Amino acid sequence: MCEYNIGYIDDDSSAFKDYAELLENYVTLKLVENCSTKQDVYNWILENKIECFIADFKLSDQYTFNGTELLEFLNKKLPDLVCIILTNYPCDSISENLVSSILIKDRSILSSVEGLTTFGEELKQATKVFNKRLVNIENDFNILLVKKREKTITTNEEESLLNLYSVLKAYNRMDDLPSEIFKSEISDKIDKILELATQCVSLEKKKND
Amino acid sequence: MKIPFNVDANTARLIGRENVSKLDGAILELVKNAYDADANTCILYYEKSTNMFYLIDNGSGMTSETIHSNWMTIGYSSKKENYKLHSGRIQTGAKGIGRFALDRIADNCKMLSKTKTESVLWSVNWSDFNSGTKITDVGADFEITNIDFCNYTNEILNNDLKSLIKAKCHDSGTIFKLQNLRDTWTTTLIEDIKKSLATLIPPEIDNIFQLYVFSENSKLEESKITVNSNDYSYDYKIDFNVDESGNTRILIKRDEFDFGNKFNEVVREPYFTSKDAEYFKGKPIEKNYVFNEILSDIDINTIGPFKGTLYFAKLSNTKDEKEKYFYKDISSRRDTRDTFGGIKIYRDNFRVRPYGEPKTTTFDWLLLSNRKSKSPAAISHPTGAWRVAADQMLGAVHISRLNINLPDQSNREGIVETKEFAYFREFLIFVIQEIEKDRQYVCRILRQYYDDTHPIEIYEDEINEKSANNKSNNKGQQKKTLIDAKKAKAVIDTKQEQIKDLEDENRLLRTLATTGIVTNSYIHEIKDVVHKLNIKILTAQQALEKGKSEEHIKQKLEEALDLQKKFNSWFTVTIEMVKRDKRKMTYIPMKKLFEDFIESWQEVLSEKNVQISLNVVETNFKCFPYDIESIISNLITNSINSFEYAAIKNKTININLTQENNELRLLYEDNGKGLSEKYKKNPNLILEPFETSKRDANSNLIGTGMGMWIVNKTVKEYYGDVDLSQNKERETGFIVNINLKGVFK
Repeated sequence: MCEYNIGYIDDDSSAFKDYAELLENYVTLKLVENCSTKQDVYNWILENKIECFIADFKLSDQYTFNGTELLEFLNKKLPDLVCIILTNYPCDSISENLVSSILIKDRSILSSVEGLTTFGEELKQATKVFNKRLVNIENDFNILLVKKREKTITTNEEESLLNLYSVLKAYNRMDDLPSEIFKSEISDKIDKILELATQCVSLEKKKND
Repeated sequence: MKIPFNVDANTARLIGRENVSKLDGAILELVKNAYDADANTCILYYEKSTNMFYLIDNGSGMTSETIHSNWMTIGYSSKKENYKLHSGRIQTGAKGIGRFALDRIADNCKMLSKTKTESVLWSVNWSDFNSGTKITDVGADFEITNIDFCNYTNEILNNDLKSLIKAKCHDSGTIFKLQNLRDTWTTTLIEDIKKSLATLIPPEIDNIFQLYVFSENSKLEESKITVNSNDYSYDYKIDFNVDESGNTRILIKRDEFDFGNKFNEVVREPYFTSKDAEYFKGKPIEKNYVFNEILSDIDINTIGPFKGTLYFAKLSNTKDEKEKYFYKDISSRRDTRDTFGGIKIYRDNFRVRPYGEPKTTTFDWLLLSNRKSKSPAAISHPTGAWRVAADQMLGAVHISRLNINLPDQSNREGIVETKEFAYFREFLIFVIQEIEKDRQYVCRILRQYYDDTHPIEIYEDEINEKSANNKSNNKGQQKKTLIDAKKAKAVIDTKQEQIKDLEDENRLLRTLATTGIVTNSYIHEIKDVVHKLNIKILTAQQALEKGKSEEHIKQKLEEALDLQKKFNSWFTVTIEMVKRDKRKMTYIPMKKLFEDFIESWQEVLSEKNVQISLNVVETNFKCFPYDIESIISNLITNSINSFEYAAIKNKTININLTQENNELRLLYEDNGKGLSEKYKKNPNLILEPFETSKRDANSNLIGTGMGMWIVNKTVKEYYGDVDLSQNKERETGFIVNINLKGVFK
């Protein structure tokens, strides 16, 4: 088994075993299973520590979305993950303009030894890119964490902090942190307001009594 | 201040390449340069051991001044202004790009050029003309030398060639040594070049310009390009010879016709004579005249002896003419008129300018175009005289210093217009008339033969002619326009036969269109199967290389075989329909036809989880099997497309075929999505061409819209109809009733 984890989604999984075998010298190909929504696929990616993702264009036999729509979703959630469309009909995928044509590959690339070598090396390189970017994600996370501790973090940044943490944790870049860290500043404030309100109510009650 | 322009060196090179892109073109360009340099010998030599190519000529050569001011200026051609050489030969090129032919052949070029006054060595590496370098920064090595031709070619391994150089190259000439050749020079390539040169250079210049193509081991005799051989393509050749007394011998050779296996059928009485048969086989027609038979009232030959060879060569002919006149195939004949065209005069083997010079007003010095415009009759015209066109004639007329009544003009620009020169022209026109007369004689007979063997065309012409007359004439003359009923019947029968042929062709085209529609509909599936098949084979190969278990490899190959079976099933439904035996109208057992045909679809249908229920009456219906298959294929294809749109679990197609009296009734229905709203109100709209609602994943219309149109057209051929009315009430599913009328057995 190679150390590079590649995720693969296809509504017709009959070619998966062959692809996995052909690419075994370069990467480990894992098939997306038991997912029905795009969020499910995202979760699956994190669970399986996927470092590069391949999707078929037409997924209609099993899914309610097609490959380009899924990639658009994943790109927003995990922009550093290289996602590729692998299809027999590159033109259809290109015409949608949801995924750059550079990232749309014709399946025929896997039909020759030369194509296979090129594609295998490209996948390996994509995983290296992702892993290198994880370091940057880690840096971003640390900056936000400092802000959090200093209580200068904004709401959006706080949300980002949580996302980055889930990614880093999934890829074993981060240990479990105390849950206090992730307690939102907003909820702190609301708690305080509620506490004050409770105190006011009880004071009022005492007065009336 | 003005800033000068410059040119990227590679651009200059590309311009040259544009003009000289093929090797044979490059060689011809250099041979033409040698001819232009007044050479009488030009030698091409390829030496295998050193992979070098030599081009040697004994032309006028170039001085250092010429090289500096002309040769090194790209696009400059001395031939533009000064196209006559000392010998009187007219130079052929004028663009100044011929030197780039050297670049086409090899990367390194060395040249020794010798004139009567000096010798120069020049060399260039064409790779210096790379992008990014300005043309003015690229240089060629240049030096004045004392080396002679023999020493310069001393390293050549072919001794015959060395002897030839010694014999032919003395005072002046040019030798190119080309290294790092761009092509692989095989024996076949050299032979091709020889053949190409032999067909391109007209035999008439053989006396004045001898061409050799040597290889390392070739002998002198075999290296000479024999341009007089039969390789030169022409239609008529005429040789003439006039002696001092004016006795004239003319030999005409017909080489325009190819009767193939119809020779004995056409070349026979009453059309042609037995002598004609010999002429068609290559024997020249000999004619002898005394002078005053040619030039009336001129008894004495004051012109002097002369001779010549002229060629008549068409450059194209229509399919119709080819059929009528049995013209031989001239599709490979190349147009060399710009270089070698025109009727030229040579005095003692030196060209007398400017007669017959291409692209000049003196090209047509015999005023052949005037004759043609005065008598534009077609070759088969029963009475009119056909004339050659000026650009269809080429050749050479040889005179000598002995023809004193044809003196050169003092400015050396032609022959003085003496009365003898007028006779001379008149004589040549007479010679050309000999070709014209013979060709017209042959073509009139061939036209007669065609009319005799194609009477329908004659009748048709008659009907059309009389119909036209009828319109213009008054009623009193109508009798003249009556048509013989037999003739009219013959024309009608022929036309009906033609219509039937066209109908058959139409039917075949419809079936081919169905094949196209079906293939197009399933191209994704077919491509997918092909891809998976490739992957399986590659996986098996890699498993073998990696030493995986035999069982694993066997499993992969078995899976590949399954895919192959699937692939074949697609072929069966798409291609089988047009097999020859399905294109015959005959009594067809319907039950068997339907069962077999649906069976061929079975693999594809089961892949798509579609069930077909078939209920077909046992009857024999006279039809073309592929018509019925075409109807079913189109319907099934539409159903499968319709199933794709709707998530239906039990995809079903019902086919029910019954016979009532002389009608075959087909009820076809599926439980797919049904007609789209667009067609619900008016289902018959789907029978119109290009009507489609099939869309791709991006909602683009991708259907051909031809399937149901073909169904309807085919049904109409059987005087039947297509009833789609039940679809109006249906929410889902598609239903059609089709009736076909015909004969049963």
